[in-house]
Amino acid sequence: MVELSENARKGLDDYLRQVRSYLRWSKSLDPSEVEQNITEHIERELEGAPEPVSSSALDGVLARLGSPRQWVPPEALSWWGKLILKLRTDSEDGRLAYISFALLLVGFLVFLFPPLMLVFIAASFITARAALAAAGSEDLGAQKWLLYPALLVVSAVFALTLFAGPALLGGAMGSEERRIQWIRRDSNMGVTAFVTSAMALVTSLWWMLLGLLACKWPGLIRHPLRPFADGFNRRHALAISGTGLLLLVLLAVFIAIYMNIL
Amino acid sequence: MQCIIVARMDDRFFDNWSTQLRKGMLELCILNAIDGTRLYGYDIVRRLREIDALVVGEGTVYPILSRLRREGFLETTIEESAEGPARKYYTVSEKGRNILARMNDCWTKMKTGTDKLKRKE
Repeated sequence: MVELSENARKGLDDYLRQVRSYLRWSKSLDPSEVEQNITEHIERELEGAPEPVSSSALDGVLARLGSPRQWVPPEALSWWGKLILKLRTDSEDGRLAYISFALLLVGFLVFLFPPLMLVFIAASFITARAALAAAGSEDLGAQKWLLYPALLVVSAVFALTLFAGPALLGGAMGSEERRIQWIRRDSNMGVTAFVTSAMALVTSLWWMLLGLLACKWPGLIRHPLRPFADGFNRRHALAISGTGLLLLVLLAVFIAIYMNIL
Repeated sequence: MQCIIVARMDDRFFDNWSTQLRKGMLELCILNAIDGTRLYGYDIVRRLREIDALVVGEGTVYPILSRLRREGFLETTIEESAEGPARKYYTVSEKGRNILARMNDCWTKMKTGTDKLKRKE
């Protein structure tokens, strides 16, 4: 072997160490053969160079050889090796996508411990949102498959709570026995009809308010539900308010018919 | 700004395309370089280096040599060298010569067809 300067020796050792770290994930390559190919190639390239060979001369040879990773072509990698190398070398947002998906899976696996499940799902959601932010306006490509599950789960729960939560609250309040008796003392309304009316009333009022708020600040809906509500605008907000108003009118008609006012 | 983005997209497209093309061409060139003679790794790299834009990282040649040997297209013999450590010499096997003939034929057809299309412009 040609004599290398101390820095050049360190550079070569570092290159070989990196190649070895990739070779660990190969199922078919012989590490000693690859190492021999590298050292033989370097030796032949540096033949005739003044010794000890400087690190700049060696760097030129290593640069022409190319990245340590290319000594282990994709077809020589095991599937877990491909996965690990992808995680190690992907861009920041690429790694975030894998982490988000893994956290979501763990969240589902620990479903017997709800608080822990919530923590993992929340972490998965935050990681997915960070990946979305890192990607900016670029197309996410296949990463969508890893990011969207966490976003979809949390967005669905959020949307359900946002739109139907107050109705359930209204139903719970309306079904409280003492309150029913107090309100129904002068009416002949059945319990089911009363609870349904209470739910419809709260829902209609909430949707009207939510629509008006979202009309003023569309981001209230758009941001928490990214990327599914990216197209949300004032027109959609007015539609929510309008639906609330329609529900209120229908409720008034229903009550009027029920109480024989009409 | 838009021009820079479009240029970068074009560069990425060209890089992807040339990488794919190079992958296939490297195997053909390696087999052609060794056919009818016997060469060791470094000599093969040096020959391929003469073709512009074919070898981006010289380290890519060695894994291809290993794969072609595993596939049975190349045979190896190890010989002691007076200039240093023992060298691994590569020769094209019978199976390798058969596949090389088919590959060359395929390449000729593709090249002729591409040239015809170019002339139409």
